[in-house]
Amino acid sequence: MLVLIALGLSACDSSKSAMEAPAAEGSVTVTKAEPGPIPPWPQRPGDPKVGYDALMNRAVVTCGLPYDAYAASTGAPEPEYELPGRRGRNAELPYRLTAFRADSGVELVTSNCLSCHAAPLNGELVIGLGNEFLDFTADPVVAIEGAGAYVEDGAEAEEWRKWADRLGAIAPWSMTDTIGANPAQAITLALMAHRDPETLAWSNEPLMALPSEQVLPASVPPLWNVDKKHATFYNGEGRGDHVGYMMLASTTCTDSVAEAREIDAWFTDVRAYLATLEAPAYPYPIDAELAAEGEKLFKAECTDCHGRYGRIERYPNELIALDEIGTDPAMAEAGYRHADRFARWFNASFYGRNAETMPGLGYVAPPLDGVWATAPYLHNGSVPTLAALLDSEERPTYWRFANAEPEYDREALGWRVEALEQGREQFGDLDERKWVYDTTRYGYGKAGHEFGDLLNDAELQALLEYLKTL
Amino acid sequence: MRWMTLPLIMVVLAGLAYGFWPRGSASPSGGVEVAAVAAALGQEARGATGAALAKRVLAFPDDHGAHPVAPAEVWDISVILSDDARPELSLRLTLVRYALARRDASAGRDKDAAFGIDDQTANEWSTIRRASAFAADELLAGQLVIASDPSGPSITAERASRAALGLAGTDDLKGGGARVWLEHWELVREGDQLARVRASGEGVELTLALSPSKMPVSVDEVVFAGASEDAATSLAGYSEPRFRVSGTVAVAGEVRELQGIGWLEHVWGSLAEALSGRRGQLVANRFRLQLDDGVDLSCLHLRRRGGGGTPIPRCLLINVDGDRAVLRRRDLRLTAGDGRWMSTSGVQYPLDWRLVIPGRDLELRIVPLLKDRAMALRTLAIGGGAGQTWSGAVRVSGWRGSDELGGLGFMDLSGYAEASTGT
Ligand code: HEC
Ligand code: HEC
Repeated sequence: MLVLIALGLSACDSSKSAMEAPAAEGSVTVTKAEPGPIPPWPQRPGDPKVGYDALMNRAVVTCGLPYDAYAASTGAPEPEYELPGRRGRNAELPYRLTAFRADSGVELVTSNCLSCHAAPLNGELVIGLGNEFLDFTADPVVAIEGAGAYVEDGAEAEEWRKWADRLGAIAPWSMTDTIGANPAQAITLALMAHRDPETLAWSNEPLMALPSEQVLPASVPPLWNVDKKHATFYNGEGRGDHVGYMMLASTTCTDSVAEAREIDAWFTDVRAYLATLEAPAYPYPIDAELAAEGEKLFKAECTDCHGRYGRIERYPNELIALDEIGTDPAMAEAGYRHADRFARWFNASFYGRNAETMPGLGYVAPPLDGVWATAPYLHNGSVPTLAALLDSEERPTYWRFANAEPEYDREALGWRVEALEQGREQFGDLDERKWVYDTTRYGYGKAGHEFGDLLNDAELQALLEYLKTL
Repeated sequence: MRWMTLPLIMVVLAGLAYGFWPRGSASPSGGVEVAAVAAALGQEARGATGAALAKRVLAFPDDHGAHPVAPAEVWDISVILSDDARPELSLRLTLVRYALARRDASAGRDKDAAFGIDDQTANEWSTIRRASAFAADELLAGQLVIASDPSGPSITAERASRAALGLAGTDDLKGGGARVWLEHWELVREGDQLARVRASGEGVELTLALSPSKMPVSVDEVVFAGASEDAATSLAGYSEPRFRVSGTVAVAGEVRELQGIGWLEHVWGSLAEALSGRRGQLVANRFRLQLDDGVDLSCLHLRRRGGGGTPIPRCLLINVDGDRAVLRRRDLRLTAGDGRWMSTSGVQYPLDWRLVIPGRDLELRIVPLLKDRAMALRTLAIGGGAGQTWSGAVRVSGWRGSDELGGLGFMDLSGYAEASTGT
């Protein structure tokens, strides 16, 4: 895969040693969120149609690999999926890449939001579905620098160098060692560390302490919940205007406020489009009677946190404290305790001018629309199926996808996996290791969310049947 | 990742074949007209951007022989020899086969399939050949370099000859094995076990027997150290990292019995990308090191010619028993020291390197084996590039933990010349 970019500002610095600049520390305090309901915030209006076109054709990451070098180095593979509305060169590219012409006149290819936020489902590409099969284990520098073998002198070389320098600077935060474990949060923070928040000017030397190199895994959330959620991100820190958070990928190459403002102008349309996304319907038969049984259980056990579905929808937007939810605390703690400098950066920058990031020590109970399709579950993707999520005893300690391609498990509801007796160390080969999800590792824990544990078998079946209808 | 193709060509072919484009200074033996050859080769350059070879498992001894459907093929043997009396002598013989004229597409078909070359690719290649007005099927070109310290012999000889005249060619031997020869230069492979090199002329007479002590390793693996998992490069081939070598070398009538070690590489495929005139932004450094404890290392180090960026070093470590381990950027440090040597055309080469592999307790210094630096330069004179490669034997010294460890090897430094110089 051709290189990454990020979004997702949830704080991710778990290093206890991270130095906070004392002067800045005193100057602005970061507001921390209390558990409980997250208040709504008016979002700027936009045109969803224009937004879709922009998402298909415009670049947020405003640097890239010269197209000629892209074609020579990759052989310019045909797109696997047809995406309506892709125009010109974009119609020829894989969905995860976007082409555009830089001011220098060089045509560049860069990655886009769909590289993480679109995924194949039953042979079709679903926009908004997080791709949980991405491989961030390879050293990105090899491909980025190696592509230079195909880059011509002059303007092309200059464009390539800019792109390669930026991605090279964040390379350590662009890697995880497990398939599906997404580094978007760490990438975003690393990019902030290289930019002046006021001017957005890039500095090759970091301007503040970099995030911890111990990159925590994130599962990619579905974007069809954007409209329901008052705050973006797992820990609910993305309060206020959402556009600034969503376009953070532009911190890769957008070097001035003027350029960021240009992107912001069309990104309100992208947000408006994302707010229209709907979850895909469960494609297999559903036992309506059983599901109705399940609905009763859901209303009794789950609605308080996750909301009501059906004709009258209600979503409470609850941030649940760590001690109540009990899921892996690493991500929430990192954002709450070790990322003030990034929160400050965001709040002071153009991106945060209509927003205030407010980390909370917990996780948002997400809307469960289309939850049948969003495996593996929890913020870190540690629980492979809904059946396992609702029965904590059944959660495998070590597991891997049964197939390199997603294959749906209609019993357990999730991508088919294989439980393993031992962790990754049993495999000598890195290519085998990376497939093993090891829930004993820091940030990868499978604990918590035990709200389904008291259900008997029949109740569990009914509840699972109901979850298919969401 | 197909991007591997070009670095591969830069390294393997820059090191091996760039020296051999027939050019003014080569002795045009066998009636080869240099300009015509260049034109014919240019056809390939303007052809496909490098047809991909389907991945396939190498099969021996068949793969020791020629792969006639491939437009180009290189055999390269590098050895370092010595006797008790005097310092080492390095010797490198490279033989290159270029397919020039039309080859009946059906004739090679079975072999094509066996070599994993699909029909479309085979057709593309034969179309390219058909376009050539050259009558000869194949051209063999070669270079022999013998280098030693000032008191010893130094020879650089180049030859080219049409296969059609019987002066040069490739043969499969009965019972497995192969022979490739160019006038009085010859590389013979008898099964998997033995290779022989013979060369005479230019005041040299040499006969070497080589016996492999490790299994061949595919060229993708050996050059990229596993980086090209999904590579569909336009080249295939293998490397045999360690031969025991013995034989006689007679220079100007003085006969010496010598022993040593050698490294053989055999690559076939398309050179279209090498000839496309692209030079890219990278410098490619390749190291092939044979340590005294029986471990061999093949390292590739890519970095930006203009400086900056993150260099990418990778090594394949081949143990005594043939087991291999890939060492990536984070597993090793491969850096050039301050020392630079400048060629007469003003290009600077770093000739003093350090390789540190903490996980293996290895700390090595790599310096040229011989005093005469200029000996090792090879220049590419056609193909639109200003390619020049520093390509010579090296001495390795250092430590494994607290034990001293030495070794020998070869270093190829390519891509240093700026585009504007040396053309
Ligand atoms: C490298 C993968 C990656 C890319 C590329 C990426 N994202 Fe994300 N995105 C994530 C991850 C992981 C999260 C979860 C982060 C968190 O909640 O802390 C996320 C979260 C989000 C959210 C919040 C969703 C929620 O429910 O809270 C939005 C909105 C979003 N991304 C939009 C975008 C847009 C728009 C782009 C393109 C500009 C983009 N993302 C590019 C990985 C990515
Ligand atoms: C006290 C509040 C609370 C209750 C009650 C609760 N949940 Fe949750 N649920 C959460 C929170 C918070 C998360 C996110 C935890 C995380 O990511 O670490 C979550 C996550 C989930 C997820 C994973 C979503 C995803 O895409 O990863 C599912 C599915 C889910 N809950 C289903 C249920 C069901 C079914 C019930 C009723 C049996 C239930 N929950 C009861 C708070 C609750």
